[in-house]
Amino acid sequence: MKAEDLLKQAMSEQKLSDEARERILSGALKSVPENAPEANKKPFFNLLLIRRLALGACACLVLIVAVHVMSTIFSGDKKEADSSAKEDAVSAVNEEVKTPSVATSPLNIEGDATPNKNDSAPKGENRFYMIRDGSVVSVLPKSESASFESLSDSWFEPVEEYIEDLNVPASYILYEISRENGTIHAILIPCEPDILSEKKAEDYKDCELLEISGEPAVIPSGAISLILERDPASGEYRIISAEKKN
Amino acid sequence: MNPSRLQQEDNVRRILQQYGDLLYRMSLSIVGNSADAEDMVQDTLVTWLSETPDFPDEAHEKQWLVKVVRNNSLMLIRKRENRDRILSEQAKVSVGRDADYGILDVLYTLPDKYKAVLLLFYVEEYSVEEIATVLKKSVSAVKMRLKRGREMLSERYREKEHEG
Repeated sequence: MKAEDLLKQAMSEQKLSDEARERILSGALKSVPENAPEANKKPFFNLLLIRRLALGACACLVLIVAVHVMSTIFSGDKKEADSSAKEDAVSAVNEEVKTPSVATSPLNIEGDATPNKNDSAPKGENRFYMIRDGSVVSVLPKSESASFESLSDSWFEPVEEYIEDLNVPASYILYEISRENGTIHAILIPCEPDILSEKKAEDYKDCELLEISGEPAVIPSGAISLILERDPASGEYRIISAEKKN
Repeated sequence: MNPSRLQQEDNVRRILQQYGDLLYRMSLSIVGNSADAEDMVQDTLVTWLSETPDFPDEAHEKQWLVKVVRNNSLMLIRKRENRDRILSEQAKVSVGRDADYGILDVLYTLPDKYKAVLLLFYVEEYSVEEIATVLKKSVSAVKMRLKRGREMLSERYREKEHEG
C-alpha cells in the first residue's frame, strides 16, 4: 500500500469524539462573554469620529481663509511679475527659432526628436519581476511574463530546497526575482515581524518561504542573494552562487 | 440562558459538526497529540465567537477556520522552547499506538507546509485549486509541495519500515 493511502486510512480514523466535542463547546462558550458579538460591533458614526471630522473641517476652513488673504496681499506683486515673465518668454521663443535643437544626452547623440526613455525602461536583460499572490507580475510585455512564469516551478524548487537546507526555523521571503544573461537572481529577505508589518503581510505568520510583492529597495542585512543557472543536461535550475549580506 | 447565548451555542455546534474533524486533523498533524489538537480547535472557536466574522459563503468560512487553527497550532509549537523535546514527546506517544499509526509518526516529522497540503489533498480530498485558495498559495506551489511532500512521506516511511 502506498504511503499516501496509509496516511488517508490512518488520518480518517482521527476524529473528535462526542465527549471531546462537548468539552470544546463548553470550553469555547465559557471563554467568551455572552454579549461578545454585540460588544465588538462598533457604531460607524461614533462620537470620536464626528469630533475628528469637525476638527478636520475647521482646519480646512482656516487654511482656505489664510490662502485667500495671502493671495490678495500678493496679487499686486504678481501682476508685475507676470508682465515681466511674458516679456522673457517672448524673447526666449525668438531665440529658439534662430538656433536648431541639439541633443544633450550621450544616449540621444544623433539629435533624435523623441524623448530619451532609457531612464525608465528596463536596461538590457536586467529585468525586474514582482511576485504577487503567487503569480508573476512583470514590468515587461505579457509574452515575456508568460515565458518567465512557465519557469516558476523550476527555479522555485531549488530556492525552497536551499532554504530548507539552512535549517533556520524563521525563514525567508522571496523578495525579488530577476533574470539576467540566462541566469536567475533571487533575493531572499529574513522573515521578521517588522518586515512583515512593513509589507502588510500579517497573514503570513508561519514564515515559510513566501512570495510577496515589493519594490526594489535597499536590501536589509541578512538578505541572501542567490544566482541560479539552468543545467543544460537536465534542463533544471541549480544554485551556483549564494551570498549573505551582513 | 439568554437568546444570544443560545445563538452562540447553535453556531458553535454547527461549526463543530461541519468542520470539527477537519480542524482537529489539521491541528493534530502539526501539534502531534490529541489533547493539544482539541485545545487548538477550542481556541479557534473562541476566536470565531470573539470576532464573529461575516463570510459571504461557506468556502470563505472554511478558509478562515483552517487558517486560524493552523496559525494557532504553529504558534503553540513555536511557544515551546525546545522543539526536540516536543519530538521526543511525540515519539513517546507513538510507542503506545497501534502499528498502523506508524504513518502518522512519519507525518509529524515532515515540515509543516507539507503536512497541510498532504492532509487536505489525501484525507479531506480537496482539489489542488481549493488548497491553493485555503492556504493562499499559487496552484504551482501547491502542486510542488504535494509532489515533494508525497516523496518525503514515502521515503521516510520506507526508512522507518527498514529500521523496524
